[in-house]
Amino acid sequence: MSPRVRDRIAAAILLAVAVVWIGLVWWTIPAGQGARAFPLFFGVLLAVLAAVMGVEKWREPAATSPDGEVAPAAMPGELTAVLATIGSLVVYGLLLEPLGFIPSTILVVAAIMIFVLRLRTPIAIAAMAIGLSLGCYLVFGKLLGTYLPPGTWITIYI
Amino acid sequence: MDAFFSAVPLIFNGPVLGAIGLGTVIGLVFGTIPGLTFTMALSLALPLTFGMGTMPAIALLVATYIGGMTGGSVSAILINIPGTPSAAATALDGYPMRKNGRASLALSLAVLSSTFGGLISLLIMVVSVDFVSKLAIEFGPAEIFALVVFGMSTICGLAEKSLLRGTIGGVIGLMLMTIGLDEISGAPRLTFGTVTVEQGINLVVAMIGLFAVPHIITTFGAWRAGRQVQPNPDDVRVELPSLGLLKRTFWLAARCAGIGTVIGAIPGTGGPIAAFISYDHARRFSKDKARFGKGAEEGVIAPETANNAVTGGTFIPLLSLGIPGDPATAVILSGLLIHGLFPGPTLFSEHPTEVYGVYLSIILAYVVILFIQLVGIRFFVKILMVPPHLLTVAITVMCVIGAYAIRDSVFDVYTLAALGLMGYLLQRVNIPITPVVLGLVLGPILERNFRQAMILSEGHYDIFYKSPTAMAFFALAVIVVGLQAWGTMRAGARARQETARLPAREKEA
Repeated sequence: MSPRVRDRIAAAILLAVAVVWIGLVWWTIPAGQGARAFPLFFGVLLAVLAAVMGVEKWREPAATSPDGEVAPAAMPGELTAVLATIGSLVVYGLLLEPLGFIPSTILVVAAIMIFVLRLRTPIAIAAMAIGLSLGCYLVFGKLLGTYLPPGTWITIYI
Repeated sequence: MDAFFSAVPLIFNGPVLGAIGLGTVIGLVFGTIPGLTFTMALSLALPLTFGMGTMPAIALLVATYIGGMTGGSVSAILINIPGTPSAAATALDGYPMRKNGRASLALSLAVLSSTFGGLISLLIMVVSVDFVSKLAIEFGPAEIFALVVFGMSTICGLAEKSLLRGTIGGVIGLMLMTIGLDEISGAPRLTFGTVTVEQGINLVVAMIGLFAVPHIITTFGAWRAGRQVQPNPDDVRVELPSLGLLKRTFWLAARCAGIGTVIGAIPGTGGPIAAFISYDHARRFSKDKARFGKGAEEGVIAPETANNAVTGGTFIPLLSLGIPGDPATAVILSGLLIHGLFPGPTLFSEHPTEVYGVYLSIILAYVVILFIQLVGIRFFVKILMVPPHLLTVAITVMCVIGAYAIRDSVFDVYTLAALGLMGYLLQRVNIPITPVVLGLVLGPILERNFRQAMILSEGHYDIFYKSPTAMAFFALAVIVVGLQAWGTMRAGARARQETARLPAREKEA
């Protein structure tokens, strides 16, 4: 994807986001008391800026980009990395409170190492998963007094 | 002075000294490892401070910031990859020095210049914070609103090459912060009727998401594509510079410290800009310009002095006006707020002891840095050998702990994922993250002060017209935006001319 096409798509998405935002702000935030003014103004501003970006990119000759910026080349498997990272975070969030910090961390770290990093050394995977979760539990939970969920399905106290 | 003496026992005790040591090490580690930045270190360190007292917490954050700003030079010199963007200019002559077999001298020059720059900027900062606070004490909501508008204009305009993209970033940040309960009227805004969204997007969660998650994605992607680089630094030691060299470069360093402090004080600029301007300054004032790029000592001294001088500069608007100039100070601002310190003109009169505590923490952080970098550098560089992909797994866990711990809420973990994805996508289309973050920080201040001004004036806009200070800030904002827009249009016109000429040239050929 050339930077020009990419920027056109970005401008279109930003414009769409701005329009949806304006609509939501208009219909859901009660008028009066000034609660609606700022979100509405920001939404309109984003719509205008996105439109300017779109028009600029539409008129731009194919060869150059006046910003002088070159898009970082897409990596092979970039989409997988994005989905894997965001997916791990969401799964982590889902497991965190039901299972508690230690079991959910062991599971997520092991899953990342096996499926995302494609490591195949059982000892390294086990050491990393157990070491990280216990280490973080001791440092953050015990030493620094951060609240880490003990788990609602099973509860582990150390 | 009384406040100074009462600050001394507040600092010289176990927990605070420990926090300074820990913060400096965290900062140095994140600063040294390429890809990890001190902004990320700060946003991950902030949740750790929730259980601490005020002084240890602030000392930890300040030390992390300073350690991070200093650490970037190590990898710039040893492996030609700046550990932080601020150290990019250092690599220009630092790495050639290493190739000439003078790595030990380059490392010691870097840490000495950093300390020198940091301490000079601290002096300037102590004087200026006091001065600016006294000026700003008269500011009402209208003036503060105008000041923040000016701040946003420099952030969106100066931070990046494209004013348009910078402003889009800033507006996205401002929009995100309006989600949740409206603090003045109590009306829910874009909460979709859910109670969890009413608490809004937490600033620290947003920062962890915007800075750390894109890094995780990139590292995992690079590993899967087999493109991971594992630096392997040689055995290094430190060689102190000769007194002659120090004497010869003293005034250069002093000037670069001044440049760094001034640039740091302008919101939206920061370390990388200060370092490159100082590098350029050093080259222009050098008698032998050909040495630059081939291992000139001045090429290390100038940027390293300047990027650490930025730390003092950024603290000036932060402490005296409550306006952070870069994402790192935005995290420090949230830390101060969480611990009940409200930066601004009244900070000095209400919490003089804590302000002196900040100053003393900065000095002590440099003492720790000098010790680690001069004595322990041989062991310290070993952290460059930690495999990045495994480190990133640990960072993933720390992100989730940090996001969760802020409000004991899983909602924040999902916010982390969502904003991380957003940050990654914005980066891919060259929309800068810095304005987004500063929009997040300044959005609520902007809105609160505008509405308070409107309440004060009973809805008349003349509260802005009648204030010369407010009008001056608006005028400055218009000038900054105008200059940027003009520059962009000229560059665009030039590019179009070039392409118009291009086919003709091809025909000739």
